[in-house]
Amino acid sequence: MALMPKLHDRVLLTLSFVGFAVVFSGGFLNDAQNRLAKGVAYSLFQAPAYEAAAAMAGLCGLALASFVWGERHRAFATILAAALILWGSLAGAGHFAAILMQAGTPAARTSLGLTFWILASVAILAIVDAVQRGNFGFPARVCIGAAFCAGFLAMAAAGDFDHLALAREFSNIKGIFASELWRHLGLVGAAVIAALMIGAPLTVLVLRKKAMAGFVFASLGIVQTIPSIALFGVLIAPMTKLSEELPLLRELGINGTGPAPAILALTLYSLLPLVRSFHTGLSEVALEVKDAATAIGFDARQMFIAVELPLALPALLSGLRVVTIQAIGLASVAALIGAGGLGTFIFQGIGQYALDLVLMGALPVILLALLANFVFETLLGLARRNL
Amino acid sequence: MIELRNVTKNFAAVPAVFDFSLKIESGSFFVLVGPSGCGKSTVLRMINAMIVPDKGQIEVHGQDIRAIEPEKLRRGIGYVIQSAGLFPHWTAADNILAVPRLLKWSASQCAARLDALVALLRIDPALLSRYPRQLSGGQQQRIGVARALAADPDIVLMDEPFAALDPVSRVALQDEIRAIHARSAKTIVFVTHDMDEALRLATGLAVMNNGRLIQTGAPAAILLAPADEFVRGFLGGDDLQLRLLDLVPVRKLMKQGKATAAATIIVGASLKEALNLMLARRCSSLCVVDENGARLGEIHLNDIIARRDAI
Repeated sequence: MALMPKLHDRVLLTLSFVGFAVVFSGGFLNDAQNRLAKGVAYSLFQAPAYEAAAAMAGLCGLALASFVWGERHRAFATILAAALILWGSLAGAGHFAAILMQAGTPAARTSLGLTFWILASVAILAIVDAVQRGNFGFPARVCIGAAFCAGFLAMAAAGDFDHLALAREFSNIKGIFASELWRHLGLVGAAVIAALMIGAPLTVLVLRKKAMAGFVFASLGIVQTIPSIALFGVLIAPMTKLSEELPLLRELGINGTGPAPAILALTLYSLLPLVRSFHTGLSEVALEVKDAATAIGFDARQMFIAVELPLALPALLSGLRVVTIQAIGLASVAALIGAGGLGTFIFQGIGQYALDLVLMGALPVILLALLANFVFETLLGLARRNL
Repeated sequence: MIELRNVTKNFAAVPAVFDFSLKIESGSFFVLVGPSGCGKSTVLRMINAMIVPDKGQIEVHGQDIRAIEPEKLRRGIGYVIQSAGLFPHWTAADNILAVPRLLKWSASQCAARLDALVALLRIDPALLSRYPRQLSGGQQQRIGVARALAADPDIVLMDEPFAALDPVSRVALQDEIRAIHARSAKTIVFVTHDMDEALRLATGLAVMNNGRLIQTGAPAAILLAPADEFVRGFLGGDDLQLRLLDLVPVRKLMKQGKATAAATIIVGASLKEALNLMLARRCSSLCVVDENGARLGEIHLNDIIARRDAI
């Protein structure tokens, strides 16, 4: 068996096999007469030759990389192979769409097929895996991420994607995309800040009065069990009533629909995970450490700032991470009650049976969640450094 | 001086300390001994107001501690617990300087004090930048003791500080704290259930059982005349005579003059160590030397057996 190379990374090999399997079985691009028509699926092998070859070479590279010895070397090989796959599938799809469009009508839509999405996912998963296994430092991670983003933006600026349905939907909504993105972030930010402002004193109450803990957690638990659409809906009636009764609220723009009930609902959803993680974090600070702090003369305030808060910080940040990512996802539903945000595109797309428009809402939501996760992971790493 | 007068403390109607009165003189190394759960830690924690008594009065330096703000009282009293209780997110140096910083000492005062403590407790300066999890149990407790001494308090409370340490670290820290006590006028109140540790360190001893004070006095006095069967049993029962030998230095029974014995013992060693050496060497006399090895005299087995007058 001496001639047999040794397999070092099963994940990579599996990913490349998934890639091969989908290349041979799925459709790479889907070309339809219009949004509603059932289209024709084209495989990767019908795409422009160089780009298709690059994607295939990348898949082979990924398979070979799984035999490379040494975490660092393998990580570099993997990132190169994944970059090839990404470029091959992105450029392949873009250039292929341009060719198909020359023959079609302006209403025709060229959508990305399963093969494209799986190839892109395989490449991104391989990169994430490589970055973790290669044990790259924070600056290196940011550089790798920035390089891929820059590559993508350069291709977009060069017009590589202009003929894809996704890009054409984007050009339709270009004017409002940024404002809806900001609105989405505004909903999330307002809800998380409101949850913090209510959750922090609630945590103190639960910590001080043990008898209250059961009641508080049970009440917040009930809110969590209400489906999001139902909660958004349920809030419309009382909020409308309130704004009718109180002119001041109405002048502030608070009524039954729009951002106010959305922020309220998102805040309610955030409270349980937030208070639970704050409570756990603060009550798990070692008793002997608090005892020692009291015994050498810390007062309650000094104890909180110098001992409890820093020791509970990782738990507090984990709670904030869960709540933020949850709010980013849930805020999409808020579009249903007129709060705007990226959900607008999702529901418009569903209404018009324009799946690419749905993706214009869904993809940014996923990217935002991933970005939030990365930011909180980084902060957590910093907070845990000395623990 | 610390004085407790008729102090009673119940935990959920179960008495932990009952009608407890005790005077601890300034400058003494006072050890509270007793079996687990006898209330000795409760007594200790009442002195720095960590536990408030139900009844009775506690005075520190002649002042009722109820009249002092608890934080202020505690900053003037060093405190060491079994698990060290170091702040895991602070370096050893930051841990040591916790109280001086609470007292708002200047940076230069803190730095000077840190140097003095590092020298006093023979702490390896390389450890100062480490976090507690990077230190061994013995090193952690050395930092814990340094933290207790940092603001140079008159009184230091120690709650079974060395119980969790390996024998080598324990003896080293016992010697360290005994030497520090001998060189300073500090009052140390020390809780332990380990009789050997109590006898090794104490200048004053109190035996507790079931929340009550059973007997108090100098260690030798208690060993010679245990108040009851409980004290006799706790002090070691049949080993009592051997333990007594541990309290008396060779110096007291040494006969000055020419020494012919082959085996030598240092003048500061205890009679127990002398007897041990005689048993090991199968001889009945030892040559007594000083720290530099100069011969001072001789000690005989018969004198150890007839030692009564020495205590």
